[in-house]
Amino acid sequence: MSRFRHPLKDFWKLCCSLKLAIVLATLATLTAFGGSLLMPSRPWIFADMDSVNLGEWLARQGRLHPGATWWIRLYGVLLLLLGLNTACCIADWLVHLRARWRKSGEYLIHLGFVLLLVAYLWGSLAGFRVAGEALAVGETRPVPRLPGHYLRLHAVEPILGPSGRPMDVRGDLSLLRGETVVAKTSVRTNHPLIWKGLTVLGVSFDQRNDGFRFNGSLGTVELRPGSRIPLPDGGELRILDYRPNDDVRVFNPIFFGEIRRPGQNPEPVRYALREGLPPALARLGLDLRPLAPLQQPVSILTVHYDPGLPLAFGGALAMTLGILLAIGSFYRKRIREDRPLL
Amino acid sequence: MTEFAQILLWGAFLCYLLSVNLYLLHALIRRPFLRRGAFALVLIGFLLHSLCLGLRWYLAGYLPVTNLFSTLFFFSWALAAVYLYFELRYRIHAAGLFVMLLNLLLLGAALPRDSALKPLIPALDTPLFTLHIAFSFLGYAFFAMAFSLGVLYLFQRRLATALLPDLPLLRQLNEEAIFLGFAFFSLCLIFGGIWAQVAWGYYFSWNIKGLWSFLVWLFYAGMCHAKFVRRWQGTGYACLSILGFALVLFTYLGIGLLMSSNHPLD
Repeated sequence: MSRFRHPLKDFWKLCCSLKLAIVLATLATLTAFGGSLLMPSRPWIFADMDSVNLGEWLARQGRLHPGATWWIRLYGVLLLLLGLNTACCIADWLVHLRARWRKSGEYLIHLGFVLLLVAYLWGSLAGFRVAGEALAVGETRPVPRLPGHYLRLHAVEPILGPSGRPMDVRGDLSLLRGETVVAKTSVRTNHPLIWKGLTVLGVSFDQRNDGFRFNGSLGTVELRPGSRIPLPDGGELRILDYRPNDDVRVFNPIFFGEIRRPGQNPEPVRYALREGLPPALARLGLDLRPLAPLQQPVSILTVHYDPGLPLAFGGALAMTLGILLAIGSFYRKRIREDRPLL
Repeated sequence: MTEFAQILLWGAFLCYLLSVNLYLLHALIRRPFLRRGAFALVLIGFLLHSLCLGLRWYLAGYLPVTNLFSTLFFFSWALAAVYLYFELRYRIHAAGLFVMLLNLLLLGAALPRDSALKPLIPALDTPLFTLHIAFSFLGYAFFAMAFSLGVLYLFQRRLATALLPDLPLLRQLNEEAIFLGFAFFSLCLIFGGIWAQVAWGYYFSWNIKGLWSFLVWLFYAGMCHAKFVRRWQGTGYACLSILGFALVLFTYLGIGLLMSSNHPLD
């Protein structure tokens, strides 16, 4: 039994070894030092690293450029080993907590580091980043790659500087899970919508052509999806869809709708503005002259999901507390004229 | 107002310049009044420097550390503050020559640059920005102090002069500078990470600045552990302090000036 325990004890000592931590930290530093020198000279490989999470990026670029990206995998492995080594140190400290409680600050820093590593690994493997999501005012759209969750934009407006220069853009945004609003905020620079691991940033705004204004026998009317126009014969024109472009031509606005009359089946209507009024509407003697396209303000959003985010905040908190405790403990030792062994 | 800030800035620079000369004279002819005079000049210089920083902060409405001039200016202020901390706490006297010379170089490099205060862009309009840069340059200043103490340790080991603190004290001060620098730099990264999360949606960026900042942190984390290894104590630690500051300088100036990063120093 004693012969069996010694190698295990030695292995545990190695796992907790301070020298091993220094060796791993040195190797990781040297690996990243050498590898990072490739980054400025190969922007076509590394420039978009932040646009997706590390797992996705490595899966794509790592396969395309193995010679330039291998160091990231090695760096990751070394950091993971360092994280394991640190976790073993924490476990060893906990076992001897009664004798070593004065080092709580230092070990909270260690714990923060381990939590941050785990959180980053989790986020890199299970998270995602989507840029350029356009959401119009009043529109509700599903959050990409997160089933059951929806974003709804209530308003969007530019924030102008004193000289009239656009400085920022503010969007009033809600996050829904099913039908329930779970988060609501005014999104602008440095003020994203954060809910659990989801972060939604407003990066810009735009306008989207979502209909047309007409003049004619009905006066001035605006047609866009959802519009309902009473017709002279007692029916109703309902606009179901609008496309500013077709598959062939840019700016070939087409409305898709139906005419509903009491006791009759809906009559489909397709109104391509370039082709003139469709027979179903012309028959009623309608006159609809297109005046101008209708523009809807649109917020351009970036959606990031990182399931490890709450854990990362926990790690940052543990590390901050650890630093404050370690500084306090340092000065306490100095007052007691101890050697400042930290 | 801005002219007054310029006068304060030049006043601080002249005080530091004179103090370096007095420290140098003291190293040659060793008269206590020279050392005391040099220290008094550092105190006056730091006061003017602080007033200038406070005035610029008031005029700008934010902590003005956004370009090369203002970062060098703030780095120099933080280094002077760290030097005063060590001098008042440990009376390191002549050791101030090297630190103040470094400080003079930083402020001297800032002087010819554009000191105009520009409106703050929305991305920087957050308390996290203030916390991030304040802790960053405090950390850098302690690392610069550790570098100076490391160089002095190597000098003292060779010269064994009564002008400098003895080797055990220099070693102790070096370890303290590294520990405090590491603590402040960790806070800088934590607040920077939180800021990155709210500004970009992720807390770690694979931009070269982000990567190298983490490398600097990892290096000094290693140093906080290396002091427990007998082989690295003393001379080895002094050499690591010098090497670490080279990493800091590259991360701060090399990347900011020579490479495209998300922390440009234009």
